Amino acid sequence: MSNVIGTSVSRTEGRAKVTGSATYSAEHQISGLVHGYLITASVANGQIRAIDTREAEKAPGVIAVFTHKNAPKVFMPKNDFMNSKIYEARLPLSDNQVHYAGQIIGLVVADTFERARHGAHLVKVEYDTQTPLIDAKKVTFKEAPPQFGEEFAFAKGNIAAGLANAAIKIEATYTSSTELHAPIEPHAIIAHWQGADALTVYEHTQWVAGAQRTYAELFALPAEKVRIVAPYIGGAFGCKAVPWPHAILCAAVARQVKRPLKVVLSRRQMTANAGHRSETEQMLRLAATKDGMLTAIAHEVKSYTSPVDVFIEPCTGITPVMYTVPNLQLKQELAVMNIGTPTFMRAPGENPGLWALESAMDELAWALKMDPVELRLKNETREHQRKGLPFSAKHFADCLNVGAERFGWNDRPMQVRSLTRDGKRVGWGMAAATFPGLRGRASVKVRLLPDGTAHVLTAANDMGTGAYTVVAVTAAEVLGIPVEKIRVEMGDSRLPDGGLAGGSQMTASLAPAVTAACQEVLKTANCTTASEACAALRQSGRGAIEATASSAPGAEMKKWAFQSWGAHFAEVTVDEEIGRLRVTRWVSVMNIGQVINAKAAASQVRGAVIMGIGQALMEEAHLDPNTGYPVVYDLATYHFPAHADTPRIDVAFVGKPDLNFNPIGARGVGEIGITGVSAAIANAVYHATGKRLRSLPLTPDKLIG
Amino acid sequence: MTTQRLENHLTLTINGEMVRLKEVSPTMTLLQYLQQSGQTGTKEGCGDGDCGACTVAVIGQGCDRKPHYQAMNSCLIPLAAVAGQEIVTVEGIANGQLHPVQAAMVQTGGSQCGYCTPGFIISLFAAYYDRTLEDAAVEGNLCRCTGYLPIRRAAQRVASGQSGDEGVLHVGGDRFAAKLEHVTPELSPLSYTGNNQQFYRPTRLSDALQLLQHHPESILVAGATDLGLEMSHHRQAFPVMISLEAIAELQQLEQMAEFVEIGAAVPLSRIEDILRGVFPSLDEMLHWFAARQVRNRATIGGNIGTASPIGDLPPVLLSLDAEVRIAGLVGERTIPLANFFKDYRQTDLQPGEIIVSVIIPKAIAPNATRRLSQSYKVGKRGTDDISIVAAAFTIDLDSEDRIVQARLAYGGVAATPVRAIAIEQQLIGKPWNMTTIQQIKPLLETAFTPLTDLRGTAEYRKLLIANLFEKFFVETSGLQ
Ligand SMILES: Cc1cc2nc3c(=O)[nH]c(=O)nc-3n(C[C@H](O)[C@H](O)[C@H](O)COP(=O)(O)OP(=O)(O)OC[C@H]3O[C@@H](n4cnc5c(N)ncnc54)[C@H](O)[C@@H]3O)c2cc1C
Ligand code: FES
Ligand code: FES
Repeated sequence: MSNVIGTSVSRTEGRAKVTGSATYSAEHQISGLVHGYLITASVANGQIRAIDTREAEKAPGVIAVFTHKNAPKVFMPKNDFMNSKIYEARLPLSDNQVHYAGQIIGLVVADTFERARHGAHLVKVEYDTQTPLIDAKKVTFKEAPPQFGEEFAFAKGNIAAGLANAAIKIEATYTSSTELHAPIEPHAIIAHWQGADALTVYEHTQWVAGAQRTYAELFALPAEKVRIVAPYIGGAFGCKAVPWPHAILCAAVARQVKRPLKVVLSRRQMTANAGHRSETEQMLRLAATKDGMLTAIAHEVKSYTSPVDVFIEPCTGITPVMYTVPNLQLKQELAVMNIGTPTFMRAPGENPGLWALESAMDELAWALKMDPVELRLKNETREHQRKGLPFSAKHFADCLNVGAERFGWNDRPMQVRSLTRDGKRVGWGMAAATFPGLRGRASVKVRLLPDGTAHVLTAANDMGTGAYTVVAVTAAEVLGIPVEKIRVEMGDSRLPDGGLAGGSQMTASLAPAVTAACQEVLKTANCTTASEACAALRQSGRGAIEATASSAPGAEMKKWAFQSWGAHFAEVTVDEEIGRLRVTRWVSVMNIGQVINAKAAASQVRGAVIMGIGQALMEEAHLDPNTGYPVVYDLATYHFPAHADTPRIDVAFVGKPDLNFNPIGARGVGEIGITGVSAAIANAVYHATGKRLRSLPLTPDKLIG
Repeated sequence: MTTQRLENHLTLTINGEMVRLKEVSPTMTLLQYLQQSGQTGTKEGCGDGDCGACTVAVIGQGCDRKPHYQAMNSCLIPLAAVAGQEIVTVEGIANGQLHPVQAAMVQTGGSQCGYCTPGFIISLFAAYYDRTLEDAAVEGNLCRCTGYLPIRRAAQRVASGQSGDEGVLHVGGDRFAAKLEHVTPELSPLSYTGNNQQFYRPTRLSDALQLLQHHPESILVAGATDLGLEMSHHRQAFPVMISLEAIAELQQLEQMAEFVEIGAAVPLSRIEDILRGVFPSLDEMLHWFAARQVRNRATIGGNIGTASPIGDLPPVLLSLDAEVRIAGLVGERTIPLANFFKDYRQTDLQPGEIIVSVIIPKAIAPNATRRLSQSYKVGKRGTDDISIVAAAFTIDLDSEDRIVQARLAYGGVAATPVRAIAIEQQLIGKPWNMTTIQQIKPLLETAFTPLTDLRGTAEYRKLLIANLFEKFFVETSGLQ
C-alpha cells in the first residue's frame, strides 16, 4: 500500500481537458453523419389538428421529416430504475397530444444542421388548444404516490398534542423556484446503427450500463447489441442520467434513415425537454420547550410534475434525520401542470427540504433568543427516526463546532441590523447540510502489465466529479504503484458495469470494487506487491494479469443508517438602496467519511456552494403565466453565478472513515455541498436586515429599501 | 470601389495554418466553421455570447495600436469578419508541452466536467500575453461545476510565475510572444460572396457610403455582438453586409482639450484602455458592460445604433451631453444624442447614413466650479449581465455647492434611453444636499412608467430610479 488516498492529486484527465482533446457527445467524428432538428410545440395544452411537412420535405438537403403521423416504432422499457429508465414515461411522437409548451412534436433530418433547422421552420402546425394548467395557485393537489418504492407520509407521536402544548412555536411557509440544471454542455446524442439490430449511442449518461439496457429495451434488442460511448460528460447534475425524448427519437429515426444521426438541443429546447427542479411550497410547524428542545415538527410539501411523468421533489426525506423530535408528521402532495418533466437535480429533496427546515430552525433560534449552533447541537439525533437505525460515524457536532471556530461565529452580535461595512448591512447566518450515504453495485476490471503500469476498466463515468482520479488513486493505493502509471478507461458499456453516477454514490460504489479487483490481481499473481507481480510477469513472458471484481452493499444496510453531514457559515452584505445582496465570506465543514482526493472533494463542495448561492440569489425559470411558454430560455435570462459572484470559500473535512459503510470508509461528496446553502444565506440576510425572506430566490426587489 | 470584383474565397489562419475557404456563407460563425471542420476543442455552450465556452484568441490591434491576442466569442463572429486574421484555439497552444496557463489549470483542478475549460484556457492565454491575469480575465466565462475558485488560483499561479515545471516553458523563446512581433493586425479591404451573400469590408468611409447607396438592402455590421445573435440562430437573412470594422475614419479616438471624439467602430475594450480616468462614469459602465470577450468586439456605434432601451452606454453618454456625428452621401451632420433616439429601437438615422463618431464634451457648465459624475448598473449577477436599470448622473456645482447644471439619464425605464429633463430643471439653483435629494426622490419615483419583466418589476425599477440618485449623492459626498 502506498499513501495516496486522502492526498491532493491532480486530475488524471486534466491534460485532455485543457488541450481540447477530450471528446464530448456531439463531437465524435462519424462519417456519413446527418443532422436532426426538433420541431417543438408552441402551445402548452392541446392537440395537433394538422401538421404540414410538405414544404420541409422539399427543402434542400432535407432527408426526412418525422411527426406523430409517421413516428418510428419504439417499445416501452421496463422503466423501473433497476433495469432501465427513461425520463419521460410517454414515448416521443406517440400521439397528437401536446402536454407542455416546447414538447417535441417532430424531427427534421437533413445533410447539415443549418438545413435541418431551416426545414423545421417550414413545418406548419395547427392546434386545438385548451387553457393550460400553469398557475401554481389554481392546480389540484393530491397525496404524492410512493417514489422508487418509498412512501412519503409518516407520523410518529402525536403531532397535535406536540404543537398544542409547546412553549414556542414557529409556523411558516417557504417557497423555492423552478431551477434549471444548466450544464455548460447542451444535451447531445449521436445514434449510429450497424444494420437494423446493432446500435452505438454516443451520449453523455450518468448511468452507462443502465443506458445500454434502456436502449436495448426501447428497440427490443439484446443488451449486447447496444453500445454506449460516453467518455466525457460536460456537466449533468441529474439531467443526464437516462434518455430524454429527443434521444429516444434520435435513435429511432437513425434506424429509419439508415444514417448516423446527431441531435443537439438548443438552450431554448433544453428548458422544456431536459428537466428542471420543480418549484416547491413547504409549510413547517416547529414546537419547542423554553430551553430549546424540539417537541414537534410537521412538514408539508407541495411540488409539481408534468402530465406525462411523475416526479416528486422529495423534500421530507431530510426531516427525520436532522433533529430528535417526539412528534413528527410528514406529508407530500403533488399537482400536475402543463410543464416539461421535472427530475433529479443536485440533492433532490435534501436541497429544498433543508432550505425550509434550516430557515425554520433559524426562526426558532431567534424566537428562543438562542444561538442557532447551540439549538442544533441540542437537538441532534443519534438515529434515523424513520428507519429506526443508528447513524454510523456521525460527526455533525464536529462540523458545527469546527465551522463556528473557523468562521469566528462567536463574535456574532445576537441582534439584527447590528453590523455595517461601507454603507452596507452585514449579516452572518448558518445552516446544516446533509445527504444520505448511498452505495450501489459496481464491477471493475484491473489489468496489470509487465512494464509496471495498470489499466482499470469500468463502465462507470466521470461527469466532472473526479471519478477517473478516484479510481486511479484507489488503484495506486492498493497496488502500490504511482498514480501516473494507472490508466483508467470509463464510459463505455463494453466495460464491466460500474453503476450509476447519481446520489453521490460513484465513489462509494467504485472505490471498494477497484480495491477488490486490485487485490484479486495480486492474489492471482500470488504476490503481495504489484512490483513483485510485474517482475514475475516479465520473467514468465506473460502479457498481463487480469481480474474482475464486484462490490455491493450488504447486511450493514440493515444495521446502520448512513448519512453525510455538514455545516455552512455565511457572511452577506446587503446594499439596501438598490437591494443588492452579495455573499462575501463562506465556511463549509463536511463529514463525508474518508476523503479520497482532498483537492477534488473540496472542489466539489465549493462548486456546490456556488450553485447554492445561485439558487439563493438568482436562479428561477419563469413560465409565461398565460401561455406556459418559458420566458427564461437561455443563459442570458437564466442567471447562475459568474466569477464575480464567487466569495472566498473555506472548506474543511472532519470525522473518520465510515468503515461500517464500505471498506474504504468513503461516503461521496457530490451533492451535500449545495444543501443548506440557501438557508444559511437567508438566515444571514435576516441578521443583516431584519427581513425574513421565505421565498427563493432572494432577488433585489425583495431587499430594496 | 463599387465596381470592385467580388472574390469567392476567404482566407484565415487558424493555429498557424492558413485556410482558404470557398462557397461558405460569410455569416457562418467562426464556431460553426471550427466545429464542422472537426476542430471540436472550442466548445459551443450557448451560441449567444453568454457562456464563453467558444472563446478563441484573435490577433488584433490593442490600444497601443500593436498586435495583441484578444479573447472573443467565436459563436458571434461571422467568418468573413476574421478574413485575413490569425486565430488561436485551444488545440493550438500546447506544443508537446502544456502552455503555462494549461499547466496551472491542471495543477489547481480548474476543470471538473471540462466543457467550459477550453474557453477559460483561451481567456487566460490572452490575458497572459497582455499581463492582465486578474479576475476580469475570465469574467465572460461561465462554469457550472467548479465555482471558479480553482480557476482563480490558476490565474494567480501563472501571474506569479509558479505554474511548476511545465510552466517555465518554451525553450528557445515563446513562439506566441514572438508571433506578435511579426504580424500587422491591420484589416485589409474585402469583397466576398458566398452562399449568395455578399460581404464588403471597405477601408474608407466614402466607399462605405457608396456601397450603402448601391445596396439599399444591405445591413451595416460592426462588432456583430448584436447581429451575431441573429446569424448564429439564423433568425434573419443577410443578403448584403457592409462591415465597418476597417474604416479608418471610424477607428479614430481623439482626445482634445475640449472634447473627446470616439470613432463609431472603436471596440469598447480599446475605449476602456485609452480613456481610463477621463470620464469616471464611462469607466464605471464599461467595467460592468458584458464581459471582455464581448467588449473586444462590441463598438460604441453599435451600442447606440442598436438603440436598445437597456443599452448601457446611452445613459452615460446622455448624462455627458454627447453628440453623434453622422455621415451620408450628401454630407455630415452632428446632432445631440438626446435627439438621436426616437422610439423603441428607432433612431434618427436616415437611409444611407452611417454613424461616424460620438463626441463627448469635457467642459463643465460656465458658472460651475466642479463636476460630479457617476454611473450605476443594476443587474442580478456580478458581471456579464443585462441591466435591470442603468443610470448616469452628471451634476455641475458652483463654489457654494449650488446646482448649476444637472443631467440624469436612465436605461431600462422607458422605450428608449432617457433623461429626466423636468427634474433636471427643478434641480437647478438648489443646494447639493440631502434635503434637495429627499425633495427630488418622490418626483423621480413617478417620473417614468417602467415595465415589469423577468428582470425586475415596475415597482422595483421605480424605487431604483430614485434610490440610485440618492446613492450617487451619498457616494460623491463621502457620506458613507
Ligand atoms: C453576451 C452579450 C452581452 C452583452 N452585454 C451588454 C451590456 O452589458 N450592455 C449593453 O449595452 N449591451 C450589451 N450587449 C449588446 C451589444 O454587445 C452592444 O449593443 C454592442 O455595443 C453592439 O455593438 P456591435 O459593434 O457589436 O454592433 P453590431 O451587432 O455590429 O450592430 C448593432 C446594430 O447597430 C448598427 N450599427 C453598428 N454600427 C453602426 C454605425 N457606425 N452606424 C450605423 N449603424 C451602426 C448595426 O447595423 C446593427 O443594427 C451584449 C451582447 C452580448 C452578445
Ligand atoms: S457558445 Fe456560449 S458564448 Fe459562444
Ligand atoms: S468544469 Fe464543468 S462547466 Fe466548468
